[in-house]
Parts: sequence; C-alpha cells; structure tokens
Amino acid sequence: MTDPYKVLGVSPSDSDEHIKSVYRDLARKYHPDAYVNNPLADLAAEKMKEINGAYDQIVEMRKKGSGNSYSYGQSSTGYSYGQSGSSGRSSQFADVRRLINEKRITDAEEILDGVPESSRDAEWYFLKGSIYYTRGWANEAFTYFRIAVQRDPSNEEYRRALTQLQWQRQQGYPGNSYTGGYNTTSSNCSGCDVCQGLICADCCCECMGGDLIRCC
Amino acid sequence: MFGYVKPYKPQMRFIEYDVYKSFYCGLCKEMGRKFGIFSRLTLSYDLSFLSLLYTAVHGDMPKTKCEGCLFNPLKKKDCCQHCGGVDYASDIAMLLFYYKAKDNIKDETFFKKILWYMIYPFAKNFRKKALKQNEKTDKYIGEKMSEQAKLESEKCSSIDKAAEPTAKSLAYIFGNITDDTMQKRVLEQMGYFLGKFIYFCDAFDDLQNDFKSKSYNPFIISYNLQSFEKNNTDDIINEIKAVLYLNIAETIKAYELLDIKCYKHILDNIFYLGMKSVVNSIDLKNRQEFDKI
Repeated sequence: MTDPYKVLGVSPSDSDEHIKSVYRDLARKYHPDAYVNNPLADLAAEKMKEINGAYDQIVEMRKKGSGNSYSYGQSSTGYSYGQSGSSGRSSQFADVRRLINEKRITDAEEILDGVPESSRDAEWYFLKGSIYYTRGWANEAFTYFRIAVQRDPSNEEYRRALTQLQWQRQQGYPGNSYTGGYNTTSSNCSGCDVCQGLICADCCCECMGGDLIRCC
Repeated sequence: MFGYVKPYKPQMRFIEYDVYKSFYCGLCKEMGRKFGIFSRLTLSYDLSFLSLLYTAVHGDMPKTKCEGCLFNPLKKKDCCQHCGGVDYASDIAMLLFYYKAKDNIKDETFFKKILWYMIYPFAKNFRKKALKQNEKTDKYIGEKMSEQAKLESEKCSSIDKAAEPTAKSLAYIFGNITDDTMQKRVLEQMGYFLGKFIYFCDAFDDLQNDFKSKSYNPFIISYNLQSFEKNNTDDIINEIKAVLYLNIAETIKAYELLDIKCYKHILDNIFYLGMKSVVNSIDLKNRQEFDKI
C-alpha cells in the first residue's frame, strides 16, 4: 500500500491545516471539470481518486492516533464527482453527445457537419467546439464556445466551457470554472455549505420559473 | 525546433541552473561525439529540454564532468555524460535539422538558398547516422513536413490546422520517450501542445519579417493583418498572446499528469514560468518594432 503522505507530497509532521490546504490545491488541479473533453480525463480521474483516498486515510489515521477533538473535513464530501455537464433537458444532439463520450470524434463530427446551416443552434456550436477541443484545437474550440454562449447566454454548460478557456487565455495557466481559477474561493467550504448553496440556487431558479432540485 | 522551450532564469536556483546547463553542454558534446564537430552548431534549447525530460521520466540521472569547451575555450563547464536522454535528443536534433535544411532550400531567398545548399550534404550525412535507431520517427516527421508544405502553399487560414503537422511530429517524438502506455499518452499530449507552442512562437516571432517579405504566416492570414502599425496591430498581438497562453495552459494540464522521477523543480520552472516568459519577450519585441516605424 502506498504511503498516503507521499501521495499528497506532505510530511507526517505537517499540521492538519497545511495538509488540508495542500489537498485542496491538488483536488482543484485534478478536478474533473478541468479535464472535460480532455483525452487525458481518465488519468486525471485516477489521480483524483488517489488523492481523495490518501486524504481520507490521513484523516482517519489522525483521528485514531490522537484523542483530540479536531475537526476534519472529509474529502469525499467536498470534491467528489459532481454531475457536471448536460442537465436533464432533452437534446437535439443526444447521439452526438453519446459519440463524443465514447471518444468517437470523427463519427460525431460527421453528423454535426451534416446539419444544415439553418438549423445550427447554440448547442451545435457548443458540440462542435467540444470536438475541436478533444482533438487539441483549443483555439477553434474557443471560437465555437463563444458563438454558443452568444446564442444562448443562459446556458450554464456553454458558459462554463467558455470561462475556462477564457481564463487560460488570460493566465496561461489551467483553471477550472468551478472555482474560477486559483485561490479565489474562501478556504472553508464544508459539505453543509454545498447543500446550502444548492438550496439557495434552487430557490433562485424557482423564482425565474426553472427548477434545480426537483424534490424541493 | 528553435529554442522557445526554456526555463525562466531569474526564478531558478543556482543548483537547478547548473543541472540544466549540464544537459545543454552534455547534449552538445554528445552531438560532437556522434556526428562530428559541425553538428554541434545546431544545438538548441528545445532539444536540451527534450534530453532533460527524457531523463526525468526514466530517472537515470547521468554523472557530470567538468570539461573544456571548444566554443568557449576560457571556461570549463559541467557536462552531463552519455545517457539515454542526450542520446535520443541528439538523434532527433539531426533529423529535425535535416528537414529544416530541406525546407529552407525551397523557401529561402537566393543567397540563403546557396548557403543551405552547402549545408545540405552535411545534414544528409547527420541524418543517415541518426536513422539507425529512429527510422520510424524519421518517416513520420517526413510525412508531416510534406503536409506542412502543402498547407503553407494552400495558404491555410486556420491557425490550429496550420500547426497540426508540427504538433503531431512532436507528439510522436515525445511519445517515444517511454513504452508505458499511460505515460506515453500523457507525453504525446504534452508534445502535441509543445509543438503548437513552438510553431506559434516561431510565427509570432517572425510576424514582422513575414509581413514585409509577404511570406506565409498563419497569424497574418487568419487575422487579416493589413499594416504593421500600432493602432492596427495592437489587438492582433493581444489575440496572438492569448492563443499562446491558451496552449501553455493545455500543455500544463498534460504535464501535471506526468510521473517524473527527478528534476521536478527545473521542469516546473519551464512549464509554469519559462514558456510564458518567452511569449512575453516576443510580445515586447513586436511592440518595440512599432515604435521604430
């Protein structure tokens, strides 16, 4: 079994706070949102799992080791795999999305290119951008994401894709749209905060006639 | 390759710089041993980066030895000794030099053409020696270079498309570093974006020259550059910088998934600081050109 301290690159003598902040930085770096449509997404997910496992293990070990009543944040609550991506909306291009997920990029592109100019909507531009991105044509992807957002500014999925590339263009550094880059969120975000945020967002959605959480 | 992938020196520790330099000098010596003295003139930062990365992936840190240098006879330098990294990088250097020479014979102006005609037999000879272990790589680069020539003659207006052959070549070269399937994928992705980075840097660097001589430059065509004046070009230069930054960020995403066994600080410096600083200095150079006009 690998040493969990080694996985996080910290020493057993480091403070809980330090380890937590190192863990947070790593989790942000390998967050699935930063690797959407990236051909290396599976490797990033693997790494994320490793980091989550190591952090949980350290927390567990320290809990047992000392009787002190420290409060530890459990990793799996903060940075698990959120259901990012398409919402439950029915999609005109469900088959294209499926092909992209299966990494059958050429097939997906063929279908998209067959769509007549007149019925190309925001989603068409978004998917075309996603295909370009997977292939490594990040500049083309940016152009298409921009058109998608122009046509449908309210769509969270398109906006997220665009924001991420925009950030990279400005900073020359990866940042994921979840956190809006690095060190911008406050360091205390417990599972409780996440729920609170979600409920809050749900209320806002309902005000505008939509719904985020079906059951409430 | 032309020397766009290098560390940002002010943020390096002395020890890191010494190690980096020892690869630069070690690669130069290795080329001298394998291909003769003239080959050493083709030395570049990009290739010493390749030898460093190769060693970082394999973890076989070479010994260094303080040796005299023919090109700088007053000072002895630390040189890394023969190792897998310099061996591979020196071969690749010769292959790339051969294709560059071949390309320049076609494209350059009359006088430079004559110069490259004189260099060509040497390049051919270097390549022959380097072919032994890299026949597949050579074939691949050759194919990509002819694709490149085709794109340029068609005046390709998509910058991503124009950069594709260079990107693919480097992906192949970097993928060859290891046999591990997972790490190979990471290295290929890294090489792909490094290739784009180098291609775009070169085009950015030559922006004004290409504009004057009306040579092919993807940025000039894609952004429809009409004149080289401040008001006109400022936005375009900002856009090119953003394109380069975007590619750096994508390179870093792959780099962060790479398992490296040594030299982490040096590589971090190159990826997080060095690449950006190269873009910034080309940017500055281009902006200073405005003032002169």
